[in-house]
Amino acid sequence: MSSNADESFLAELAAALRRVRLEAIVVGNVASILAGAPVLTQDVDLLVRDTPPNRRKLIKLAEAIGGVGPESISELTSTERIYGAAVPVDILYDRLIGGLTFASIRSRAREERVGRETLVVASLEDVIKSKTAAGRAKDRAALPILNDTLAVRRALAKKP
Amino acid sequence: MNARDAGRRGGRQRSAAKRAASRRNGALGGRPTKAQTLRGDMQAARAKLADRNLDIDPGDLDLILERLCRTPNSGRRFFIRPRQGGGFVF
Repeated sequence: MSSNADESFLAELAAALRRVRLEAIVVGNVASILAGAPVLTQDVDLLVRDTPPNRRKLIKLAEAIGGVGPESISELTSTERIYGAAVPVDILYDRLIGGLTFASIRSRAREERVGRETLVVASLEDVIKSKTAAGRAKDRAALPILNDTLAVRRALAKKP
Repeated sequence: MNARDAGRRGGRQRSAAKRAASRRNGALGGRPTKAQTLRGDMQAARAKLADRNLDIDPGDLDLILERLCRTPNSGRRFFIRPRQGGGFVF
């Protein structure tokens, strides 16, 4: 998949979210990348509220991006996955590890342009908090560069 | 009153060559290429960070600045995919 195809897929996802009227927040490494972190990922993580209407919208979302599901990926987690799209899309419900609720993440989230569309994206601080709490090896490996990215963003935001 | 009435030369300020160049990215007198714009933005960011004493590996800092300076539709990379037979590909 070329880099232009990467952004095209995210734009397609954003357009599909808009069409099915599903409020979703991009979390995980795609949020990190949109915040400037030089990392790559294998999937897109979306945080949504777990409600019956949203469950129906997720099925429409999967169809809209050429996938199926969402389906459970393990009995050990409530995370589900949309399979078959150009990139797997993981669906997380209501909260992230680290005591982060949908509402609290939404309150700090920002809008980011992808292609001609817009995605709601979790703040880098929230991504770092969640990965720190998760503590998996792959999360711990990414934390130094995410913290460096946050330091650069803060330094650039400071007035001279 | 037009420019000529006001004592200025008026008329076309740029040669035909420059007008043509303005439609070609990177040409003399034309718009900068996206790469030139990215380099300029990165140089401005580096200058702003020069006295901040960030304890960050210079190579990592460069990668972060490049990502921060890239705009939508400028070739941003997000995904890596596993290959059949092992390894990953962009």
